[in-house]
Amino acid sequence: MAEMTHSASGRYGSSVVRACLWVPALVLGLLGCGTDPEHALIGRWKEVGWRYDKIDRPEAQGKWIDGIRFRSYSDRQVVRHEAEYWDFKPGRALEITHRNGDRLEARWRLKGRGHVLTIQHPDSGEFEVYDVKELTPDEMVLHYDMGLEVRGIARLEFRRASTEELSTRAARPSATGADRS
Amino acid sequence: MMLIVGSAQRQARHDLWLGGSTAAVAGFVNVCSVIAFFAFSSNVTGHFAIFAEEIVKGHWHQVSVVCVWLGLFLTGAFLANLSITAVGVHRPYLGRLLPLTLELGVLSAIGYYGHHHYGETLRETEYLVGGLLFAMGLQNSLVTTISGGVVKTTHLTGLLTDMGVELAMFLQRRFRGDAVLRFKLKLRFVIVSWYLVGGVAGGITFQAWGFPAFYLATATLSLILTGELASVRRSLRRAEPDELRSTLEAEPSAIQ
Repeated sequence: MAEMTHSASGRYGSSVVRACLWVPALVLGLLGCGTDPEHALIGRWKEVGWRYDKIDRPEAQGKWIDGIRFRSYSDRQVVRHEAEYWDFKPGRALEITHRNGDRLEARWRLKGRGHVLTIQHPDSGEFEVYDVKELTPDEMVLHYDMGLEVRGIARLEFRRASTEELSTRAARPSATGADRS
Repeated sequence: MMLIVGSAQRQARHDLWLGGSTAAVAGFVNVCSVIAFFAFSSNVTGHFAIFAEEIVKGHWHQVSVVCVWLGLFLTGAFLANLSITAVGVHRPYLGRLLPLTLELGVLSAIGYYGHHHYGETLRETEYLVGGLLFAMGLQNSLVTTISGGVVKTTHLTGLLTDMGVELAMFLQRRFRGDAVLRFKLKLRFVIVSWYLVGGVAGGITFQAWGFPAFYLATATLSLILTGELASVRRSLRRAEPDELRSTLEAEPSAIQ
């Protein structure tokens, strides 16, 4: 009986040791498979759409709106981008190019497990937080939490800017300033 | 004496002090972690849900990160118990105080690194959250082992479940006089209340001070550690070796 117990505990012990070797190896393997979100984010993204999800106002539900507009919520101060290109640079600098050619400088950070994007505007000190819902080499989807006062989610969709778009935008004259309200 | 008294000689006040003080630290650290890193440091159930969600989405980097975080919580819990049950066989005081010292060191290091060197890269964030999960694993296992499973300071889902069960029993006259039930309810209220107090204090101090707020958590742990060391010294001066052995109980009782 004692021998049986001894052999059972030996088998159990060796299984635990094997698990302790396999699990870290699996994790290391997974680390190799996945794309680092910071690397995936870097580059130029074209804003292709804004959509309101789960919003209080039924007439606005699911409508595609060009640029973020919160005029129906005039009591609330919300950042308004109406941007065209978001350029995430390696030194955590972000350049947002507006439709009229104005450029806005900001700082970007990824937090958590890479699922939260924070944007800090050095001039005003304002701080925006987005949930990164999807981030692939060609597509990015961000959710902007509009806060408790205005129930709903603004969904921002981006696609990676093509080479032609990059060269076109680079040729345009730039102006500093921010179109924000 | 709340850490070094073995289960045979433990009194209600030991568990109440242990539960309250460590719950406050857990709440404090968790809220600081959410504000600083947008990630919880002790919500293991939530991390498991995220782990499953990331597998479904095929986000393998995130899967590996959450896997490492869960592994670090597990490692912390493993090391704390190993320290008490293995190191504690020959050096009982050391076995019980080592996990707390290690937790103190980890939290101090995170506070120091965050204040002086943190460049807010994702890799740093992942490591620092991992460090906090390791510290919380250490703490939870330490208090769980020492109290014989009575106190768990970071496991509020289970705690609220137990509280609901005990409140339902407390409503019935036949259970109301039960001293054990009364003590358990009191303990749960103490843990939940101090967790909340710690969380609010963590939020306020982190907003005001940034990463040095972690030093407040380490100051609380240092107070506990200093108190325990003073108790050890007093016990060693007064008690006979046989008395000491019975007070301490190197082998903690089976966890309930």
